[in-house]
Amino acid sequence: MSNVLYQMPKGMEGYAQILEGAVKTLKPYLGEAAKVGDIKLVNTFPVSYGANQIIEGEKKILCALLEKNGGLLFAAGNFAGENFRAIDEEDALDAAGELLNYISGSYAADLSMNGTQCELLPPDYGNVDVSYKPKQLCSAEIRSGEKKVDFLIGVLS
Amino acid sequence: MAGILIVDDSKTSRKVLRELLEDNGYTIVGEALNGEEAFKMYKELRPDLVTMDITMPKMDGIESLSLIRHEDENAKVIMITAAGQREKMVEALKRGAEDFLTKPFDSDRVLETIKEVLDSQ
Repeated sequence: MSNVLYQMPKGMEGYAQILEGAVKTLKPYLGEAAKVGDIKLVNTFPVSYGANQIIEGEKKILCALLEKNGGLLFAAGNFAGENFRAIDEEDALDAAGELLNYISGSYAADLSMNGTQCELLPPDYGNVDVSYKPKQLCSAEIRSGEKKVDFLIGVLS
Repeated sequence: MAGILIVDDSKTSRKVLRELLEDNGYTIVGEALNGEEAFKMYKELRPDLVTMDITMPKMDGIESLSLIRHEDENAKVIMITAAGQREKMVEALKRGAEDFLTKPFDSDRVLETIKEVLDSQ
């Protein structure tokens, strides 16, 4: 595994790799200056549009890429080569879901290189399903200038 | 030029692949959003090649691959998935997939793989 630079909250130290993958994946679309801002533990899912995906392996993890200040709309539009008007458009959410799928895939590949297999479930779009009750939920802001997205990592089991 | 059926639940992913393949002279004969639809379209369209995403709702790509290969043992199917899904890839190859590609797409690798599979007997 590569060295990771982020100061993860207590109990989430093992998930720095996926955050690093998120930054790398988003850079070409959010901006090459993309970096991690605040990282914090949260108790509830933020109410925001975006995409979420379950990764099932030794642990079951939920990842989500959520809109913040137009950043996800911007990144999804660049990724799809489209000029989306709003993040709640189905095509914009589809593009956000595919971006998240790339992030999850990058994490799964890292795990696989270390001998751990996991399965990615299809990404889901819209709001995060609040019926999920993660044992721990971490929110990291990824930003490039004024463009921001929230990246969530939830440990479900 | 060969006719290709693209199977992926993501519209964005289908668009990326369609543009790449059309720009390189291939004809996209259809697009399916899940494995069930892919099987129906395969029987109807008989494409030269199928690019099949693995992770899809309703019916995944591996189940659809099995149905297509049962229908036509000469069907040429290339599996596509996000990186890190090695077990799924191995399973797909056992069930008759010709090759596999990982997302994000590397355009050169996509074109090279498709050409090799189409050229194979």
